[in-house]
Amino acid sequence: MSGKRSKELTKVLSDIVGPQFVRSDDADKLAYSFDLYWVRHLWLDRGHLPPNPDVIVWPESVEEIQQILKFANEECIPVIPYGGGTASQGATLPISGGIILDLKRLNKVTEIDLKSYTVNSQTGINGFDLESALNKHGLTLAHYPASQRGATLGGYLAARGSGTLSTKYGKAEEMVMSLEIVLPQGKILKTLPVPHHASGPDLTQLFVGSEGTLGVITEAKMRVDPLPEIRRFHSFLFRDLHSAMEAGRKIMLSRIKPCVIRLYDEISSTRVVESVLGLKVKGAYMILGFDGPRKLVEAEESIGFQIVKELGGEDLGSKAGERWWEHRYDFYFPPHMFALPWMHGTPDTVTTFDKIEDLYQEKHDVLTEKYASWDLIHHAHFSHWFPWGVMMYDRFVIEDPPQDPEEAQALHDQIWDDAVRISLKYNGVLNEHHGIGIKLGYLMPEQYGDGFEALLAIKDALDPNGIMNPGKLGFPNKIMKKE
Amino acid sequence: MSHLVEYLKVTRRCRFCPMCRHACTIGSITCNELNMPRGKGLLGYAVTEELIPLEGSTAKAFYECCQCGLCEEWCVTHYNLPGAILAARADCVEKGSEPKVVKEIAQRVLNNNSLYETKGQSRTGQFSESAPVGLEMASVVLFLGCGAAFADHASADAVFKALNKSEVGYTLLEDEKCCGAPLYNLGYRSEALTLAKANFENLRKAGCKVLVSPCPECVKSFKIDYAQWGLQESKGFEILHISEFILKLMAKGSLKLDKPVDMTIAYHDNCHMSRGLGICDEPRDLLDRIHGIKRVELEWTQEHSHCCGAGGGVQFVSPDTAKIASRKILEEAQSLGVEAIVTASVNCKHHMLSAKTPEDTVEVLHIMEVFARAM
Repeated sequence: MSGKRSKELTKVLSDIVGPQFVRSDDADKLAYSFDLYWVRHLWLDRGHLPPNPDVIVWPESVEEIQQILKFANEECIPVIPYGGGTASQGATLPISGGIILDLKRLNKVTEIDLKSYTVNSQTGINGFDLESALNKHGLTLAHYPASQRGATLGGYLAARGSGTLSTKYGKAEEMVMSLEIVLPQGKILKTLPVPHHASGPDLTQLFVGSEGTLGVITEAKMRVDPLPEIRRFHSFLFRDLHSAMEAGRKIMLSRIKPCVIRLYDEISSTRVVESVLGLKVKGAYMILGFDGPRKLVEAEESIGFQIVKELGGEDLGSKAGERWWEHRYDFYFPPHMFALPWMHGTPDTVTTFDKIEDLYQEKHDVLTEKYASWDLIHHAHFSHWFPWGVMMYDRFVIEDPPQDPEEAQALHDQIWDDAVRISLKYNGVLNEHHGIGIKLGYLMPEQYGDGFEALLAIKDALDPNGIMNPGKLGFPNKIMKKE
Repeated sequence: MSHLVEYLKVTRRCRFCPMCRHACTIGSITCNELNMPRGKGLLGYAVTEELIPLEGSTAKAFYECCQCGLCEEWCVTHYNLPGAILAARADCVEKGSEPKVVKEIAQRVLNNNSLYETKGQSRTGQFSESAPVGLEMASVVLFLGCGAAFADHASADAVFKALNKSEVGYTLLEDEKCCGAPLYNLGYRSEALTLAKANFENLRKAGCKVLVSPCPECVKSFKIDYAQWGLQESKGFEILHISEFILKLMAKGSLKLDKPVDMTIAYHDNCHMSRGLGICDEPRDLLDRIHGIKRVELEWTQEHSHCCGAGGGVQFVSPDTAKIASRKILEEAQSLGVEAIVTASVNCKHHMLSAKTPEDTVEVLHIMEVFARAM
């Protein structure tokens, strides 16, 4: 965008939100040129500044967002809705420039319904702040992603996020009841007030996971839960991953509801658990947690622990489990979190119980063998369990990747491609809770098949000019073509 | 050139990390990624690698931080990002690219020997209570600090009242200088060190055995910072915040409380006091000894307290943002139904008072003012 055009844009936006809430300085633009997408980090590390937005704007109201979108739509200027910028797939990157629409000033909790246990909140609220606000009323969203302190409610929803206790409390898409969305032409769409109905297709779920490509989610009604009377964690050690997987499966099929089953494969148990928790373990390490009314927890523990015992799980007691809960976020602080100079990726996926172990084994074998010359390390934990299957949170790490950024990116992308195709082969999905962004968009047609035509049609109907977060979710980047 | 390069490990670690962002006092107000710890780490890294010049909006961004240290406290590895930001400021000053208002404030400190406007007053005059000045060989030196000396005499008078009643032998310095922390924080390191040396020399001449101050920033300067600034000499005297000293006097029986103070209060932890010096319990202990005081806690408290906006120069570079930081504390205090927000810092009190509106019902008091009411 030319300097003159950029000034005009700043002027229009300033008239809408006030000049103090529009910034286009180099330093501001730099700060909004990144999320947690590793490739972007790599290029900066090798001395290259990335594409940046033309302007950043902080609206405070739905009305201001309506005006901004109307203007941007008329002028075909990209709009990238932005919460905490904790996306790891590049979902918030301004790859075609345009307006970063930072929603963090929309941070009000508008209603807490103590009778129905629901909360209405604007979506720019920080996850930690929302949880704190609920805790004051004895309630919890029970959504504890690693990104909780950095992410926003809008980000939880736009990326179909998941938290540590999702096995009991569900992912973001299961917590949401209804949404308010500003569409690209400025109209306001309010989805049905309850999530379960027989009143036609569910528009709420259309926008959950849309990663800012269909509109701007401005308010959400979420189901909440009471803070549990007790919440406690036990840890167990299994001789191998298979025994532990079986224990997890049988616990889920017994239909008791653990808040956590977190199972580390043998490599994770050694590398990650020791690094953060200081525990030296050999085998497959499992955290098993229950919460709720004391009597219910005691009953569920009794059933769950018996299943574990039958499959040879050694009871390491509650101390290590409680320590894990206390330090559950420590894994994501540097230097524990994987970061440059290492190459790393988390091609997490989910599939049914009958396929998950084969998926794990093939992915592990292919990646470690194909990339043996790079000393690729692959390990996984299984942390979000469903009544029918389990999510695999696997990671690859190369400690000494190529210095040349093009070579490094090519290697990174090829590993991802190999990993994700194996997921698809076993009826897995491209991603379970980190989203698609720019990283995996090219595989969306392959994943959805003819269904992607339907998604394209919806995208074109809602956003004919393609201004909303262009280049993401595999939708064609109309803005880039225009330029 | 480049103090910032010494923090490359920190900026590399912080540049993409969002784990402390919820705690950032300034970022939580502006909602700007640039003001978040991650933004500062990223900017610091980019400047160090010469990808972006340290001037204009980039230079100013390093001053949009209140140096509260909550990011470092919250980090499980305790990366010293506030130190990296101060290093960037020192680089700005060496390049001459610090914002204009920073230059003006630094000049004020250098010209007036005070962070605050002096209006021609001396550092030891104009108080309601009397206090000894320049006594030779008084073992206890009361180091007022710029705030008590010029901006908030009520706090100074409360301190004098307590010390006078205790009959402890104390004195004010005849030639007290600014502790230098404001200059250091703005990036003027050699000028800050000059003040530190002058203060140190004056204290030695006075025969100081115990240095007492109602200003946590001054206490932290003497106790911790001067050595880091390069002042290598052994101090040879004890350094205490006034609340710690008063507790000692009470323990000895030198000071007793006579009157109840029926008031519900919230104690606001000053950043230097809680995170810098680790003093959280003593002021609370002191307040709890006052009959009639009912104390409630703010949500962000003790070592996790939020800054009131009076720190790190942000009050000069982004005064509106700094004011909102205080407003948040005042509004929370009022929502808790407290009658007074009490702090152990003269600067915090002064800044929070500046953010008060006529509609606000809550008083803002230095801890010694509450104590003085109980005497």
